[in-house]
Amino acid sequence: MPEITGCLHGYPAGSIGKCQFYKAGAGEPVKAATAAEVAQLIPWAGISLGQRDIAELAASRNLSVFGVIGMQNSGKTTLLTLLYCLLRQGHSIGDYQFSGSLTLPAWETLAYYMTWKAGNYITFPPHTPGSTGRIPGMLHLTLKNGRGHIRDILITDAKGEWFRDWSVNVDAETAKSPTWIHETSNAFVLVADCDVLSGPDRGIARDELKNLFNRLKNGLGSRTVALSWTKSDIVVRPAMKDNLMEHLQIQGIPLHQFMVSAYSQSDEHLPADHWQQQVLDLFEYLLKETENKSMQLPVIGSKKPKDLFLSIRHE
Amino acid sequence: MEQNILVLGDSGTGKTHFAVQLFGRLFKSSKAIWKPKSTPENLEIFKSGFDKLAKGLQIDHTPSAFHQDIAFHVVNQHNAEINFTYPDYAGEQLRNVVNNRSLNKAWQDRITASTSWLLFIKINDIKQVEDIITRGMPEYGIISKSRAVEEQGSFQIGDQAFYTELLQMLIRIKGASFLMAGTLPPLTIMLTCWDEYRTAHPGIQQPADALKDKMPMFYSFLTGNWPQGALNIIGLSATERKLDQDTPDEDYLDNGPENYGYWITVDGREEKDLTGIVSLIYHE
Repeated sequence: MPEITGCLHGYPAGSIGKCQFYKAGAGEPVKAATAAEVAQLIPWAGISLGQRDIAELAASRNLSVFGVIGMQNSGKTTLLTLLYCLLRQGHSIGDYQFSGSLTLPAWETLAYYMTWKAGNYITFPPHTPGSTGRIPGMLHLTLKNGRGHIRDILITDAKGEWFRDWSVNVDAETAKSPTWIHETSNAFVLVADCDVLSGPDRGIARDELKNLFNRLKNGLGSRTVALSWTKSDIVVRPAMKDNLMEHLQIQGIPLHQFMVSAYSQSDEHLPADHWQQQVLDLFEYLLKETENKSMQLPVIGSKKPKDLFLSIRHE
Repeated sequence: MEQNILVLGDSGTGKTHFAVQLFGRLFKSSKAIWKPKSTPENLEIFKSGFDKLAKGLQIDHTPSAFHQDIAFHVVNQHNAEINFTYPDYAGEQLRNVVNNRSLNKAWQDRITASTSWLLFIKINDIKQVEDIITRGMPEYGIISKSRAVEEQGSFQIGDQAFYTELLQMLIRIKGASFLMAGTLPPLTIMLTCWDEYRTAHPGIQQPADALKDKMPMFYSFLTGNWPQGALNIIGLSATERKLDQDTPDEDYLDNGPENYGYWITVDGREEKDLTGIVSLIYHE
């Protein structure tokens, strides 16, 4: 996902020159917008959100940020794409149903890869691009449950290479975005790639995942981490799994595990959509864990009976 | 009280057939509750439509060069007035609104002045996407990882996302907010060519079920945001049967177009009186 900046008046990066407050840089022709050109632009860019959109969301909504942490090619973007495809086909996340999104074109672009096309053609989403900016690409969903409770979630979609850099050196230029994710997220998904953890490079992969986890737990506080075994159609040997889990669990952080995959389950004792269902279970778990931990209202110290507004809120 | 209905719909969703059939009823029926307040300023589009139906033929597709607003006004005996406005009648611009993420001044004015929205969707034409969820990949290795980009050229935002994004944008322009349901303009979803849909899906009676079946995410978006009384999902078959462009329908010639067409109420009943739609849309 490209990084979006745009300006406060709703002009995206591509047409920022039309904003009446825009000052052209050196070498750029100065062009003032004429009245006829002032078409109203939609403030959100539709592609992944930038910092200003986030500030606006956080100010008015019950917002939670879910940081998806994992190495390159570990299936982070595919995990998100599966979530959207499930919603698009009418599934709900526990009690929560789709009720809007400020990043629909981005979701649709990703989902298009995992849509059957002419000639029985389907692919995984491509490698996530990215600049070295501080704010990662993020995808947005508004969800609502049967009781009318609204949740807004932002899910990060950052380049895997950055996480490796971050696990090695937090001061690295490319570690800015993972640092932001680490500071900002209300809950995390740690991605364990079954493919690489069962392949010839599994020794290195295991160590890298441990390093990533060690970095993540630093300053984690009480925030939830869910462990997502991606590509679960591939079997990781029990010894490898035990070794990894022993390291992760010894840290004293409760880790709920979810086995996910884009593939159908072939075991006749399990439903075919077993692994896809766990994508929904994973996000249901995160929603539940962050239910009362998102936007914290400031605590009002003294209750003044005369101040009706404060009194009501205090109830 | 005066109400302004903004009529929205992609090209080919049956907006003209509805307008012509409704207006025909309002003009010709002495029993109709609603009467035309005045003749529409631009009768051209209706005139040729009336003639076509009277000949038992399908109305031509509105040329995309027809970039004019169409408005017509109806009143009832209590002086309640409804103004129907079709911005950019041909409907082609609707796709551009979403694709370009901007609305020109004329559109903004229409949206601002509107009190209620009527959205046409030709439900039988909505393609249900077949993706990794509906059709799984049982064997590992079928998916190609390398050819990912080449096939993306034909990408277009899907129908569900298109309609969701369109309404999100209109709400923003209107200055309304999803966080305050009371600010959302009442919305009527008109599922057109219901005769075609019904033939293909005999088991589904209620228009809301048809929408939920074909567009579950969009349905969830609508029902999650609009309060119950402010959202109507109805069906429409403006001509009751498919008319040909060249061969006249003999029954139409004999009985007159005003005797054809029906709509499906929110609870799935078939109603012949198309003017009932106006009463449904009118909010006290």
